[in-house]
Amino acid sequence: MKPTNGPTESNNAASTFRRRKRMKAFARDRYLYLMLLPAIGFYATMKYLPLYGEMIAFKDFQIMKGIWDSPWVGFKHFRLLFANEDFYLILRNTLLLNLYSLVFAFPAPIALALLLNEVRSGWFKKTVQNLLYLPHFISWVVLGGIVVAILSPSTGVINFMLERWFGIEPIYFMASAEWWPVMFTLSGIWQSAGWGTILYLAAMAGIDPQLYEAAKIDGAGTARRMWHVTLPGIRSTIAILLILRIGQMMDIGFEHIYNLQNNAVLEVSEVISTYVYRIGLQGAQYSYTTALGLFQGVVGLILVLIVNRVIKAMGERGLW
Amino acid sequence: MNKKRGLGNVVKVWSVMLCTLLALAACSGNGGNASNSGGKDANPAAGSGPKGANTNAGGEKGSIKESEPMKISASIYDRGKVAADEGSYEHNRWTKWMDEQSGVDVEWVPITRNQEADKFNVLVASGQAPDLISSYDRNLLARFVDQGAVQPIDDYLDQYSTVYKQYLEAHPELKPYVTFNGQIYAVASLRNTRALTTVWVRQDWLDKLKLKVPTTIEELIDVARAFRDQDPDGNGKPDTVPIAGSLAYTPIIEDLFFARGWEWFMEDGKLVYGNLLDRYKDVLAFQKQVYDEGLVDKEYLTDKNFARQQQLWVTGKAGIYFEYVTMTSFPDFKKNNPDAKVVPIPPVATKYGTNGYQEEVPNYLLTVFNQNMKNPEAAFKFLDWMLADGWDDITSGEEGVHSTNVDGIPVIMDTEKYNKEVAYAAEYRLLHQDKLTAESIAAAAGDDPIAREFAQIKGDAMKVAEGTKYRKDLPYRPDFKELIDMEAQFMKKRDEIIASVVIGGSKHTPEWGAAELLKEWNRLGGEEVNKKAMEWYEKNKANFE
Repeated sequence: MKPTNGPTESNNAASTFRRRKRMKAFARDRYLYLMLLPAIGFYATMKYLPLYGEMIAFKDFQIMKGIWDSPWVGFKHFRLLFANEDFYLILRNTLLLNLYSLVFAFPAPIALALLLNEVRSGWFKKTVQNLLYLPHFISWVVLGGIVVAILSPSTGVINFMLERWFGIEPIYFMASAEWWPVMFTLSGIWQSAGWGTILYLAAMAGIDPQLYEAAKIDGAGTARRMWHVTLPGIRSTIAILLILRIGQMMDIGFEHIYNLQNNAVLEVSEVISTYVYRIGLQGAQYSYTTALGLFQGVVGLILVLIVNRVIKAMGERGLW
Repeated sequence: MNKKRGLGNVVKVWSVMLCTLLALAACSGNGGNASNSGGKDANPAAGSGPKGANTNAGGEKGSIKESEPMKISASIYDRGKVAADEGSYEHNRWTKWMDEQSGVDVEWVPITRNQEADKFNVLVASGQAPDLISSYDRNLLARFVDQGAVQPIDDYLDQYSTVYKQYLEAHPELKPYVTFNGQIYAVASLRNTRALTTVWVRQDWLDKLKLKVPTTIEELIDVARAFRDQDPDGNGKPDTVPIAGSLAYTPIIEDLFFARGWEWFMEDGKLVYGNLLDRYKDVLAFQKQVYDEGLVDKEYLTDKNFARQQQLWVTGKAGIYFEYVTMTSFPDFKKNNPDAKVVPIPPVATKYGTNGYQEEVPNYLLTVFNQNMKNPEAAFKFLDWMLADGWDDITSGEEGVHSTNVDGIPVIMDTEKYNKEVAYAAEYRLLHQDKLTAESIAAAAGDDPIAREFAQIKGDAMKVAEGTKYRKDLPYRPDFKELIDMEAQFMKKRDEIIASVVIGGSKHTPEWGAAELLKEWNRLGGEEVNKKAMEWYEKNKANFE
């Protein structure tokens, strides 16, 4: 219990002391703060300042008047958006394609990392890793061309093998509404699974070797050790990456999808990013597509909040 | 206690960050405002500028000249044709040469050719567009006129231009194309040829199978079937794909049926959008038939840049090529198939009669003037120079190095050298007085046998194109706001529907496709657009003649 007399005095003293301590800590770490500045600057200019432009979702943007002077129209563009049946189609496609990649592509790097972690031969591991990283550094324009060529019904290697070994008629994968999402997801795994292992491998390197030794002494085999030591060891990494991934549920990398799209499969492949490009940038419907982009951002934020909650309830450290 | 302090810290940190943010935002806000208000001040000045300058032209013109450096920026289509050791579209031997010769320092802004809509939209919307914006897409420019992003140039013409002004007076047929809302906004010269698309056929294959040049669409399909079944390349394998397409594939088919998708047609006194014509069903039916029968490459839907089909043609696997008169792949084709003989065939007849191949609009590139342009005088100095002298050298290259003058016609000396060092420069001809005829092409070709043959067939294709009249009910596409606002969405749906009909088998008939097209049109407000189209026609028809 605080004494009734002189609370202000002691508080003052305490706060001066605290302030001084903070100043000291600040002075001590000044170079660290200095190094933080570019990051703050980046986020301020690249992420926060552009939020100013989101305003045009509530305006009829006119180029010569600029963002500020264009007339306000309230929720007009949102009403147009929700009244357009295309909106529900692209929303469905965006969510579905993301769901596929969440279910199939998210676990892929974990599985790969587990396997790589067990490889003992150094040169073999390095070679495999390099090969796995390779597609990550190639542009989707090139990868898209490779995918289309590999899957071609007349000259593609996949159809050739299917026909030779299983007697299956060639399938036009990229123009089939059923096959296209499969190929989209698989191509995504091919491009990014290898690169995604890096974080997991780093997390695995941090696991205390004594745990493995203890498990070995207790008679645990490789599979048991993976299940009871490695996986729990990278659990928090998985949780964090999962939250971040969920934040992108409304988002599909433009390059990837645009380079695999074609007119025959627009019904299953038109997503928010490509729609915004076609209608917003090529068709100059700036306000309308900004409304769509804002909607996308808000839903993404809500999803992150929810998942963060869930993860915390499961006893993991969330994002904050 | 601990926790509370932590929270306090967090609040402090955040408030510091927010302050920084606000300060930054304020800075940039000010910056934006400054440039904004600058723009506002500048706008009326620019609007009245020419007149204002006119009044004191006598006294102060000299000082204006001195204060504004002779500098402009201009867009240039980037077709990826500048070889690495030639430099880039911004800097190469020709940009340097143009700066020296014209006395105007031009900063070139490359625009990827097949992404011009989004590139220009972004540049204009962010206030970074170059002084001179050049495009073939009149509707794109009409949008900039509508938004006030570009300015009328009637006054500048009187004040700064001599060569182009005379040229425009000598060619009044250009007027409707450079006029927007009753004022002149653009400069443009006449095209060197109006021939554009054509159908190329392997004459050696026809001869081998003893077939005649097809004259109707049914005969064309019969020839295609024969190419498919009778092994025209004689390699003993059923590996020929009769028809190869390019960007011109769908447009050529549409034209054969008098139904170009995005043009408007006057039908019984009413304007109808091409995709919605009854005839369009036949366009869909033809595309579906050739696909179902395997007369066209089955994978053309995923052949984004038509590279696969060009390869089929170049490697001698295809016999009918829906392409442009310019067929850039011909030299490669000829090297692969030295014995092949290619001819352009006259347009085949359909049940609606015979329509010509597309005849291009008379105007070449349209160039408009940015609202915020600093120095229109420099712009016209450059444009006048280009139209008077510049275009000629850019077209034929350096005399004695790339071409020699034979009876007034520059003849190319070394085709390969010319293609590498000069060919890309044609892009810089914002204005020109070039005139292509079968004879001039042939004369310019030089000694190279492939170049000579190429010139020969190109000349033939131009004669073929001139042989049949191309139906075009409106000189240029309507450009009113309601249409522009919905057209991007409609075209997206249209492409999807056409693809569904082509590969959809018995489920998606041409009738289904036509009904879907109409449904989408109406869903996007098409009935209102139809009405506006008539109003637009009544208002503008006086300019059409």
